[in-house]
Amino acid sequence: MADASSEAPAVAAAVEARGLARRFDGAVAVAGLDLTVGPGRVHGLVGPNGAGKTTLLSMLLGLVRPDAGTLRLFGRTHGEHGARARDGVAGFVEAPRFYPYLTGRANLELLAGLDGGDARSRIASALEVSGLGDAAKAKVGGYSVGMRQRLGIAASLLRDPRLLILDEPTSGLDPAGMRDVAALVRRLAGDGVAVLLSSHDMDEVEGLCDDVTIMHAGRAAFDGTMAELRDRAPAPEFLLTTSDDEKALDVATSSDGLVVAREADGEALSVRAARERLDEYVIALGRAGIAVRTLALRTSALKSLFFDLTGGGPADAATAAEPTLEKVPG
Amino acid sequence: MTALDTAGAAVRPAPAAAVRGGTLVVYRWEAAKLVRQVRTRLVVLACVLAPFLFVAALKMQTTTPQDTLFGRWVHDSGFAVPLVVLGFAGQWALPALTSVVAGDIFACEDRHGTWRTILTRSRSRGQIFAGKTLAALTYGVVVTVLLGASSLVAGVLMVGHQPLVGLSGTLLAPGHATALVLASWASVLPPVLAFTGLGLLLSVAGRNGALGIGGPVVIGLLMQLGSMADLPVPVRTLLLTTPFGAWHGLFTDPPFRGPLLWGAAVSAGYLVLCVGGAYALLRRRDITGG
Repeated sequence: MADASSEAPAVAAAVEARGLARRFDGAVAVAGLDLTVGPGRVHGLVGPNGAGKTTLLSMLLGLVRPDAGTLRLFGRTHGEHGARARDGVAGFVEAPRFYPYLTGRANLELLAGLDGGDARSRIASALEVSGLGDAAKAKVGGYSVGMRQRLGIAASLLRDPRLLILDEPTSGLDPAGMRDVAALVRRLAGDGVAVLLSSHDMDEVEGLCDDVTIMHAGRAAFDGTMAELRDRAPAPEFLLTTSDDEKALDVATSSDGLVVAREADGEALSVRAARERLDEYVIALGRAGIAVRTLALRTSALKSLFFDLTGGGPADAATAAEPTLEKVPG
Repeated sequence: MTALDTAGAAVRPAPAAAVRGGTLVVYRWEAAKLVRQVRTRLVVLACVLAPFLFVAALKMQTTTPQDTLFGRWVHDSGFAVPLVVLGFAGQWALPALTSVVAGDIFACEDRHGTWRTILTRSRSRGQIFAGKTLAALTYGVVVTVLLGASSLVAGVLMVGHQPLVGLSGTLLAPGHATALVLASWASVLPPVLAFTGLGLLLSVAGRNGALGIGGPVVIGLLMQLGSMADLPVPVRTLLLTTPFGAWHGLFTDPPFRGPLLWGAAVSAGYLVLCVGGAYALLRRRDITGG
């Protein structure tokens, strides 16, 4: 994580939030959150629905005013610098939205006109990078969710960002689109751009991010590097079916670093173990004459930690994997 | 990929000139949007064509609209035509025409969910509000000028430029009549702008284009009903519909201009209150859904 310095704007942290808080009609959305995003870092923001991710991103983009706390973008605040606090900052919250009666390109031309400067000269490259292609000539009203997502990324790139804020950027994208976005994010980070992205998918965050903040009930349940997160992660959980589950349970009792339990429906066993211990357990089952019929990863190590930190359980795994839009109260 | 070259950690702040000229940038941006909207073009086209159709319809009739000021002269002097149109337009058409843009100019961002797209660009809320407000006011002026000019041209071309009989019975020469017609149409600009302000306020407060467009028309009609009722004179002079008839005094001998000045002052008051209220609402608003 980069050190924040408000005294030298040229090297200041892209985002430096301290004690950021916001309530909506009495409900806490963000509660005293600290966040630092350094230049060239890809920072993941994960949390269950209602954790406050979108509210936090909205505050960073100046769409929602904080009730308390300080927020600096490259050392500047919205209160002191107004719209100039967003110089070098681009991105979107929730699904990016555009004028449906205009083409994708016309939308970008309008936004470039609003930005001024040389934004207009970046339209062609932004379209190329976002992979929108000929669809840019079609009216946005006919776009799929994935196409709007690509246009949202193109609109962000028009601003030549030093901080890119993306809310669920791969939501609605096909696998190729997800791969393209991941490559773009890595390339921009390599060029020194700070990227803050929210996601429901721990696997995506693990593969893409250098740092991660796990939010729960408006607070940071974890804030650190991915390496630190991995160190804290518990063993992954697997689902096991065998030819004789009773005997498989007996074999497990004599193994250290292994937790095996019968599923509530009695149809399978859940196994929590590191990979090496799992290998040993499977070999032991074979030696005991027990056939392994299925063995599948149920919850990865990071997902397990995510559930531990956010109070969710494996039953919420489907929710965690589904890209859904977080609703902000109010 | 040079256009997207992002090397170097320093952030380039927006040039000061760009920030200073932000309102003008937003104004041009909004104008470009309006020009691309079919509805806006249709209204402009209607302002140009409607007076010609109106005169064509009048010429097919032997009777005249005698219940309207100058209605009895529409077959005798082309200068009566823009005044009859002005009489009708002041009732509901001008509030409706200006509200087509003003009432939807903020609400459309809610409808399309684009507030969070434009408010994350390089312009402040104040600049966006000012630019949009100026664009709506400009549109109000443009449709009024177009309708007035088209009415005058239609009258002169299709009826003729005969002298016009004033309200005191004196004959007004074509040059004098032209000047008075133009002054009459100019005199409705303040209430048109005030109705524009009303549309802007409803557009921001209601976040609904139908309310923003229909609201000023309904309010205008209610005010007219109020002016026909036996309301105290001080109340009637504060109604926004009253200034639409202030031009009548220009056609008397001697002319009386007091209602014009009072109407302009009342209109300015409405405009300031409505625009100020709209800005206060937008400035404080959290953009959470659209």
